[in-house]
Amino acid sequence: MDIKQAAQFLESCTARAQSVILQGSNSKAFFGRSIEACAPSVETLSVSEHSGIIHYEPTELVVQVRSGTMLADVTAVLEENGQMFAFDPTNFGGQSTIGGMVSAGLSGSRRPYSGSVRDFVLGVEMLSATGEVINFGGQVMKNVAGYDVSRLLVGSLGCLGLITNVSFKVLPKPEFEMTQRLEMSRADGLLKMRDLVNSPLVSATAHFDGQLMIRLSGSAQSVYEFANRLGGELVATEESCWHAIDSHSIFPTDKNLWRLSTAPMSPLLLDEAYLIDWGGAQRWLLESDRDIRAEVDKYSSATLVRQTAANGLQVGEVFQPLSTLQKNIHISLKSKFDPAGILNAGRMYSWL
Amino acid sequence: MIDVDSQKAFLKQLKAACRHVIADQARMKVYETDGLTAKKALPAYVALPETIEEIQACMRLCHAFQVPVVARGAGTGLSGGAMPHEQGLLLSLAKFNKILEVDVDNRLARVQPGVTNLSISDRVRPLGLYYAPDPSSQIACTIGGNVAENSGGVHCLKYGLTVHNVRHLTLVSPEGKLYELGGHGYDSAGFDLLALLHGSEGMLGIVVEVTVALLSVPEEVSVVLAGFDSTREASEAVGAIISGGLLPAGLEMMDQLAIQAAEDFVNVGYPRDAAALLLCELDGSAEEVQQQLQLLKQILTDAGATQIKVAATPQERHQLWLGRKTAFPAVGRLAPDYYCMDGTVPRKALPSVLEEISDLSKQFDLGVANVFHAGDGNLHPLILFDANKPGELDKAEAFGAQILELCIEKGGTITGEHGVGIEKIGQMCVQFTSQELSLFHGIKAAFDSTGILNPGKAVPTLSRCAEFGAMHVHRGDEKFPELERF
Ligand SMILES: Cc1cc2nc3c(=O)[nH]c(=O)nc-3n(C[C@H](O)[C@H](O)[C@H](O)COP(=O)(O)OP(=O)(O)OC[C@H]3O[C@@H](n4cnc5c(N)ncnc54)[C@H](O)[C@@H]3O)c2cc1C
Repeated sequence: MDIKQAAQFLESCTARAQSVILQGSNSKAFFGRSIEACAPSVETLSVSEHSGIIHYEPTELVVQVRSGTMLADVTAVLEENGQMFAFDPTNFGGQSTIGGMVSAGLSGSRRPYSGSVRDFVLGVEMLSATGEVINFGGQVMKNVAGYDVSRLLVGSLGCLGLITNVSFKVLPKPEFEMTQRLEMSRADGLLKMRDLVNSPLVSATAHFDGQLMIRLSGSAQSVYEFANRLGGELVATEESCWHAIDSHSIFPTDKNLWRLSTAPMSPLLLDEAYLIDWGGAQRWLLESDRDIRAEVDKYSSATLVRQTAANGLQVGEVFQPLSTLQKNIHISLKSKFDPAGILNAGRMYSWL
Repeated sequence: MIDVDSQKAFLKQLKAACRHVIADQARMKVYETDGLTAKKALPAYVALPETIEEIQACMRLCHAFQVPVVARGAGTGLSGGAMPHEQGLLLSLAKFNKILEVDVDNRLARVQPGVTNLSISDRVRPLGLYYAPDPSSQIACTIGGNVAENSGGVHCLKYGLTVHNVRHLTLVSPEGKLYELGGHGYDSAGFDLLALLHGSEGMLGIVVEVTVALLSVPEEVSVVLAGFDSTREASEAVGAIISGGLLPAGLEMMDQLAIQAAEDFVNVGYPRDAAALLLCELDGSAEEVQQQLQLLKQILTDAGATQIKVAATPQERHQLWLGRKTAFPAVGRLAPDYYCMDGTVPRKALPSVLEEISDLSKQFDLGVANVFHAGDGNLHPLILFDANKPGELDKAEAFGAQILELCIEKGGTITGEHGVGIEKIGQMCVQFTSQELSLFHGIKAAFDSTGILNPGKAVPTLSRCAEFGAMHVHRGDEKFPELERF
């Protein structure tokens, strides 16, 4: 379906109050609530044909991409020019699209050290639920004209509109990277992460299985010197854990996978976590039945990221519940963007 | 609008709700304008609450009586965002000036909204930490104002804007309800309302507490000054630095008028004869900075720099920045008034935009000095004029409007960091379609269904845009100015 057809389709769906699933490659089907499982009569709108890089100027550090483009295709082009998305995008099964990456808003290992997906989004073009093409932000680094709708769309799970193209800020790829492994306890690992949080050469940290992993990025000389000071042993790039963490393949699938977002040094669920990364601010737990949402404090949030295959698609709530006032704002915002409530209804919360 | 009896009842209840209320006009004078001094209005009431409960009580009352509310930090905003509403309450956050908690382990500071930007860094510097966004107004402007404008500064090229450095907000809704957004980790559940609040210009909620992220003071810092024979060469050098793989902590440009004004004002050793200069700051580990410095010098030489000076001591570094940071007041001495613009363009458009601004300057017969965040393509042309000369203010505003439209034409935006406020409300009609503007109104209504927060600012009504389009050429003598107010 091209954009014109998609616009007509959305317009008619809004008129008919017909629910629609917006989809890239469906690589994140596991994430969020399953709409199919909740609303059987839903129709699907895929943007996978709407692909290609519209505009890439390495000297401006800006790339503008259609939402159906495969993430891998974009990163390959960036790489040819010595550049990258600096948030370590998650690429599930190598199938993720740019639209999915932005809608899910998931950032990878580099997040605490250089920023998140939303930090690098400069502008978004989208189709509204009534099929109008609308634009927010642009291709410049700073822009405070109007409300920041492009950042609002990041992580909105397709509940607000169909993202058709996105402009990103990109960064030069570090000249050299390597990962260092240090044996230490969880508590010591956390303290080490704290001490390294603003080290200019550190670009990822994780602790699991009694080991602290530290990725260093920079010029070869300074990375080696820093690694010497750190101690521990070098891990070959191919064997390093970062991609496996970012794509969740490092986590066993026989239990539910939970993610806790919290203050880096918080004691919350620290020892129970299977793996902690992001300098301690992201903690991954594997649980059979336990719901950790009830255990978090008001500055933290927990997400049921993935259910076991045996449990199938997710129908219960997966995200941290919101306060009543926040919930009302969500409902009201949704109704302004999507008056008939047709877009990915129920994907984020059952009531949204 | 409310009648006289209700006004009396309102004032009585306001005084009961909040200990510090001002209702006499003489004492309100200080609030009549923000940094955009050309636009003035006296509010009907001023409240200076001291507690969150007082803010909530004020909001409940204003909501009940449908009295407009304009929040105010330090009033340094440059787009009239904090300009009072004549029938409204001006809510000053000045008494909310405490740093509540510094959490060194988590690199967070929890502060009240009226705390000045610089005082956060001053407080945490002994701990080896600082708060990165550093607007030139940082001695005076407040963190609440920074959130509302999504302010930037010299170091935003590398460390991001306010939105990249705030983790959590506590807000009071227009109905007086307290709520929180964000968390102490890097993200939270639901839509990214935390991001949406940044740059929302006091239209969506009253910020009553802010948790900011702190960074470690870098191990090594180096500042380089490069002089050029033309603004074209200097702005091309900006592109060359960025595309050469460097990510400076700051990359700023000043043109000849700004250089000379700065020299006259603080005498820091800028090359008076240069047509333009770049100030470039590198930071990081000692080795990394040394390597980058070599590369930077090479790029600058290749780009035609006639002079390159590396600050050797912290004092010299401070001197080099001092000229830049005091450039606005320095330029202010060149003419009775100046008008500061704030468009952003793609970096590659800098050379041509600067030349076109210089042409416009001749056309309008008004001087213009340029001192700006070159690395981000964020222009700050300072238009020089004399408001006492009949017609000059209108001429300056017309010149400014043309610069903004030029920025849109080049694929940029009408405001990089100063906000729309009342000033650029007309250009919003040029940058956005009516569908986009309607969605902005929808967002506003989701937070403030009766529209009592800062009415008439930031997002124009569609009818106002229709009128603006028809009256485009005669911006100066707009009819029915009261239409925009409510
Ligand atoms: C000399 C000079 C240099 C400047 N340099 C820069 C610069 O380098 N970068 C930059 O980005 N800006 C700069 N500015 C602009 C200005 O300082 C910033 O916009 C600043 O963030 C405004 O803060 P304030 O406390 O003065 O806010 P005010 O001017 O009081 O208010 C600004 C807006 O914020 C709203 N607001 C204030 N407090 C709250 C609150 N608690 N809750 C909700 N809304 C609130 C107001 O309603 C208004 O809309 C400069 C200004 C001057 C005069």
